[in-house]
Amino acid sequence: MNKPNSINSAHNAAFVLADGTPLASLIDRQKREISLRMMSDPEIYELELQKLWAKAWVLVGHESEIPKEGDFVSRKVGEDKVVVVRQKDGSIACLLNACPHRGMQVCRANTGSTTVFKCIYHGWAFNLDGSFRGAPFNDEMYPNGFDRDARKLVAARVELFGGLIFVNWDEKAPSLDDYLGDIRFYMRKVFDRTTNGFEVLGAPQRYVINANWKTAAEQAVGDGYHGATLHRSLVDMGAFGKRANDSRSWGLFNHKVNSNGHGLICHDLRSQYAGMIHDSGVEMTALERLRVQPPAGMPPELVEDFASRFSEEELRAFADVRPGVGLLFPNIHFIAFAVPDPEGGHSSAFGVHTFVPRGPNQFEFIHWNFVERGASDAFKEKLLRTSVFTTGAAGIIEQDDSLVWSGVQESARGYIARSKTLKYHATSEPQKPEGWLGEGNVYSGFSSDDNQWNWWNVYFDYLLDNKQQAVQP
Amino acid sequence: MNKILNATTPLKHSLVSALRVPERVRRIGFSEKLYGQVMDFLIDEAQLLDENRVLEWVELLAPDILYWMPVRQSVYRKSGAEYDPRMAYFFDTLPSIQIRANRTKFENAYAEDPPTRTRRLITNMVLHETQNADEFAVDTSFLFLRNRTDDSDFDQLSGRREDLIRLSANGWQLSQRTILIDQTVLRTPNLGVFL
Repeated sequence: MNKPNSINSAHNAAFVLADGTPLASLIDRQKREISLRMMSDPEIYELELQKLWAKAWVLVGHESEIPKEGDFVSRKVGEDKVVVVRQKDGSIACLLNACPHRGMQVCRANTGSTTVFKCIYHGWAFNLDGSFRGAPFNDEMYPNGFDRDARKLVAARVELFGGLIFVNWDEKAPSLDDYLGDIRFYMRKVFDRTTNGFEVLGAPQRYVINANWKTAAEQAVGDGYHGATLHRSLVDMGAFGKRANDSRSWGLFNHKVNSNGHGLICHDLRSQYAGMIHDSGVEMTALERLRVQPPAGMPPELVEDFASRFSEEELRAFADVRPGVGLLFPNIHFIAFAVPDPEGGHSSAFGVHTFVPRGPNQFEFIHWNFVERGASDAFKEKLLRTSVFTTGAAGIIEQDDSLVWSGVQESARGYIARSKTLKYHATSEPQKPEGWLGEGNVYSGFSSDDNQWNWWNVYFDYLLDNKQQAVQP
Repeated sequence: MNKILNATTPLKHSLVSALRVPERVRRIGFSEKLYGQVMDFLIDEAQLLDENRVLEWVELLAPDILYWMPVRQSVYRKSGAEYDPRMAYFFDTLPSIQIRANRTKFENAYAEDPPTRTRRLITNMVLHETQNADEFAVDTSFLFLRNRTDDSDFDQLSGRREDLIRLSANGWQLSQRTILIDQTVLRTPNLGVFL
């Protein structure tokens, strides 16, 4: 390969776009700025398919969606269609949903249960683990025999965290535990926190937004700042009981953590929700506080079980300061926060969104709701009602976000505008508060761009091959 | 003609405990006077929403209104379970609908300001008497078009609505709406509007 701008070039540190622009020049590490071109350039999008989506750990669902042998869901990893299927031994496989014969999908439903994946084109059939099962008239078509191994469906690596199914095409990628790294400590209290774990509350919402997936991802990883303006109506309407002009409201004053591109905003319940849920004037033990305000998606009766899985020190810290929102690199947005119930009292929203690319100018927003296993139907119903009221397509929080993402995208398509930059100047040095538990880069205080800037740096590491070598398909 | 058509509402294992499935006692045909009265109500209701008069629309709702829209999936015929009634795009009762409607009063509720331009085409109405003398089951098809900013094309949603409407002292009221959407992936970036 001599062409410097080929996306197949082995080393991308000097990768140059077709118009002669070095990719590395689109991030300005001194000024902390990113070219808006990153949002709309088709060449960069192609590079992402190869360097990012084929190498990062990508969320495709939750194991409770496919409880029994043969249960499957169809999902996408980047632009690659996959089928995620429960095996006979209880494990989970993620198979490329493309027949090795002529490329047709071997599974054409969103969800279901089966014993075999059969391609409807010529009839090649595959077992649940992707191995070749047979084909019509095989002996007549292939009298000289065939290579059974070459007829397997391509399988991705699969690892679970709290039942969440992560997949990765790259054999050389680190384990999921290593990938989550320092963030795993915090995320255990969100996703891996009770004996029986959580489950999905039904199939996910899905809708498309005319924006690049990164407009949503870079916001979700740590942008607390936008809340005070973009979501201002929530306060003005009285839908959320925050104090509009108090900088300690709004997630503007919080604890941020980032590591390896992942980012969390931890809500300090002592200030942020003081008026909304309980007044912190009364001295309470950690367990009492957790009973008053259980973790998002958890009924109070499971708080004891939750408490039994963590040290007292950890519980004390978590009772006051909890990961409320954030993003696991590259596009896995989690929500775990309290919301008011329009019918009175409060509830919570607990779930995950993924921003799945559909070309440089559109992405699919997938919205799963979660609930702790063993919750009553009444608890689930309230959670469903309050969760879809606040988040997802009709969520009074997120409907404003979609407007901004598509607006940024419109700018990124302009010739002049895309030469301008996204600015991440509000950055600082990490500083852990006294007694903080957990590693990673920790920042306490006013909102900042630190998580977003960390995310972009890791993103560029993937695209510039600073992370791993490219996957050979 | 006018044989009873049952609801398609997916009900098994629904988390929506207040959901009512009326018994469709007798079909009310196009030639009956009541058919026209109900159609008038639906036309008026659609017009209020099309014209962004959401607060007036809320006045047409019964105090016990249930407004919901389950998630739909593409599944093989033998599976049958296209709707997942454990998950929804909308699941609202009167207090949450009032909050949504109140957004139109605030200039920083940006998703609908400038408002999107919407058109609700309501058709194929099938009307039934129910076991409650004052309540009727109204099933319709809808095509919802939404134009935003300077788009020259439309966000389009289509589906079926299975409504219950009630004849109260204040006139007709919508007491339950189930929206059965045709899309598995909605071609609209948000549902900042009512269907």
